[in-house]
Amino acid sequence: MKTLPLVVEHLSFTFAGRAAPTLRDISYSIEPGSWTVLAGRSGSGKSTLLRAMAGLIPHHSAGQMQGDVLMFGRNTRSSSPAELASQAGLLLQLPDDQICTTTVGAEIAFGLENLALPSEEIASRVRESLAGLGLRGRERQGTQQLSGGEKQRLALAAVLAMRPRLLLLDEPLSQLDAVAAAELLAELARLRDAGMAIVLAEHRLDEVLPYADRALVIDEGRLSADVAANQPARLCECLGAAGLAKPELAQLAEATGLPAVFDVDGFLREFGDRRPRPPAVGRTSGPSLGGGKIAATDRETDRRPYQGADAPRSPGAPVVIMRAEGLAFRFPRGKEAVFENLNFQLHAGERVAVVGANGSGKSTLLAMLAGLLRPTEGELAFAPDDGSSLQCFSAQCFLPQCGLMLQNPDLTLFCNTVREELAFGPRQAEAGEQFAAERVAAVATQLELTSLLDEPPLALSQGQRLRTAVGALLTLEPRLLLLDEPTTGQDQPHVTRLLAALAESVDPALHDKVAPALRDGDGGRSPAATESPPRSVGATARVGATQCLTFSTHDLRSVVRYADRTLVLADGRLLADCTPEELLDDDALLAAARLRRPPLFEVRRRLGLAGRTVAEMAEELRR
Amino acid sequence: MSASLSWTESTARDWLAEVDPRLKIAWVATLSLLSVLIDSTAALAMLFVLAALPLAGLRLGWRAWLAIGGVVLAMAWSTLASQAIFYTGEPRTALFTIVPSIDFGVWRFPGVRFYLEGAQYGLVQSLRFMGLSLAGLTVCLSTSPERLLVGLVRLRVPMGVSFMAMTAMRFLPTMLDEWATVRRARRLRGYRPRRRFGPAGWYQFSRDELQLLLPILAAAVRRATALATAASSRGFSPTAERTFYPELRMTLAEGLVLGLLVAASVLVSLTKLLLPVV
Repeated sequence: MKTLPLVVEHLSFTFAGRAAPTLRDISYSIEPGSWTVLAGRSGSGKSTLLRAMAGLIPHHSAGQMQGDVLMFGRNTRSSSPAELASQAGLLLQLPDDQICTTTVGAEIAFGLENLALPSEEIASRVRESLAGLGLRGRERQGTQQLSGGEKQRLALAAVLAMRPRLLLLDEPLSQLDAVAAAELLAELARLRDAGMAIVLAEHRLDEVLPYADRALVIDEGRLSADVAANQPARLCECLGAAGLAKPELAQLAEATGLPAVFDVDGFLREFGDRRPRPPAVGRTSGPSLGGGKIAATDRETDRRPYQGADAPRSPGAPVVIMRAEGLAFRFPRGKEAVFENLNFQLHAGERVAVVGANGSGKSTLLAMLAGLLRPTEGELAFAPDDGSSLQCFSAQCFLPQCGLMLQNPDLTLFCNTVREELAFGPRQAEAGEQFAAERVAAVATQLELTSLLDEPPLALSQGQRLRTAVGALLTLEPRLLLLDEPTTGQDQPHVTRLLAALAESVDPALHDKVAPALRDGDGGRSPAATESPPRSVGATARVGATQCLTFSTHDLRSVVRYADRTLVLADGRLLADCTPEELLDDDALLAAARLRRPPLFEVRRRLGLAGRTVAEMAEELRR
Repeated sequence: MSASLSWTESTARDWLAEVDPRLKIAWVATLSLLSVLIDSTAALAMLFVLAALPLAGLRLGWRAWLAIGGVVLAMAWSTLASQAIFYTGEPRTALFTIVPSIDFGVWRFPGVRFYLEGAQYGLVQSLRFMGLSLAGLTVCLSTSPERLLVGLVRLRVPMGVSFMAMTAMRFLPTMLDEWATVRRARRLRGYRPRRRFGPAGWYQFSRDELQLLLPILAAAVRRATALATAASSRGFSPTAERTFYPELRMTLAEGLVLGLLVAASVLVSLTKLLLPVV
């Protein structure tokens, strides 16, 4: 009789100290050589289920477990995780958290040592894994020196070196850029074809569903659906019922009256053999298809598209907030520059996305724009709000006016309550308690934090923590708001709501307002600078008074929705300063920047569509 | 930033990095024993120099050297000064008076003086402590946590304890990075330290710094849980039999040095037992 990799029978689990169970009566089985996707909102129980499948529950989690998990016929209750380790590998979300040692070779060897393999066998497997990783000869390299993508690959290689027959992955794509994610998914597909059973929990369903054989939808600890991936219509229905966003291609198919599909080729097949039209210039502004999130994103597209830094400007040139000239940065003991000769300007009324692969210098650039790092070469100048001349680098000049949200929002929350967190900035500025209270109330309303003001920030949900961290910056009324990878590791709905609120708080009309003292080109160095301070520029009625939003991300879908300009970083250079559409239409630029067109935009490109939202494209296709 | 005083593969020159970790541990153990047994200031000074010599095998930036030098000097001065001021032994020779004695009639404030014998005693204590600290620092900065783990296990230290030591070394740089990140985040939110002077300012400063522990501790707890999950899922058990990938083979030269260390320890111990006045 065939022994299945995994059989879960009526599994329920309640963590110690909690009244409600995290997992409720879940039953399913996993076939060898299959790829199963676990889909569910944050906190739905996906990670707990993965830990139960790996045999870590109940051994390593205090709580009450009911039902059974059988891994290759062995009951995980009666087998220790160490005994099960040779059968199943578990890859966690953050590679930094699962790397147990300090060198590449030692990390791969760690699991093999635990299996008590002889050192010759370990050496052979380490060499094999290093070759597979493309890290041959770097056995003694420190793991801290690897990029995020390399760390994730190392973590996977360390698990695979143990040659498991079942691979469990908890959001492995969250830290990876699109190209690295595609490489990882291709590697997993190869393993599946070789007979390994794969179970993968992931939010990025657009990317993983084309590879999957089956999806389990988890909703509030229950298995709400168990659907084969070749039934996309039913799967989409189940995803919607569990409060999850459907993959965009499926949304487009639905909106155009086609059967739901998850992959580009499938969509094109369904759509029929149409001759692609040439790529469109500009875009059409089709009517919105209706309510919900699509309608919200449609409103974003009603803005005037940004014309690019070198585009000819009207006599009323946009107000420059920041100017970078010949900017370069090198870490004190770094061998190579992180980037060199960056030239760009940030203007009022802009929403700018900084994109690039893992390790392209996006975070370093944002830290520099916020005044945290001093450029090693070049000049970075900031226009103060009082209308005086652009000022060259000075942290004192930058800090009150630039708000930077760091990549891990949890590390920016250090107060006892959300209210204190939001009031921290105004209090430091000695702006008065009444002013601080007014700012807290306004920002809390804008970010839907009002009911949470007396809660401890670190006890909130992931999305609420993210909003609190951003809110703590907004109460300082920064003119330039910088967000470092707000989309990484976050639920799409959290990011959508936050970015939509922030993008809306930047008034695009500011872009067209002319401030004589700070015109693009003269940098405010004219005598008029001191004569007519353009206070009116900053005097918007919007909460936060943010004049320019700049965010870095891997997620090109967010770029298209919430940015009107893109700075593309790669190989230490600014490869392009263009609109999101220009980026998505340029194959060579995408390849050079190690970026990938999202499936929806691959369809847009191949069918020669001009729209940039599901609604706009669907309207074009219907026509 | 954090890597400046924590192990990386390039913090030590090859000859020091390659030394058998068991010999390094024996080196620290011998220094500990000799520091306790020896009372002579001159001998302790020699021991301190011996302990400091391997530092030459480290490749550190000037900031790290400055930090080490600063800590050593601060430790030496604080131990010496505190012992010199609060020395109660007799006889004692006052080198200078810090606060003169005051007669209150019913009670006489004895004053505060700096005593020569106390300073000498403080110097001896600081030499003992500093030598050991430098030797321990050299071992930590020149040995990869994995080699240290094998060294400890080969010396029969329980696997659970050895693994904890290795993990602490692995995560020290990460925690320092996080501390720097939290401070950066606070700075980005307009924090201006110590605007008030005097005790109130110091109280505020201490309170502000303690506040930063909250996210760091939360992250440490989350990471500890994740690491335990990762290690367990990869078959780690503190009690199960396991093999070790790094091979430890003591060279002839290392064996000779180890013999010398053992001989020195035995010799000094016997001398101290037989001739306690030395």
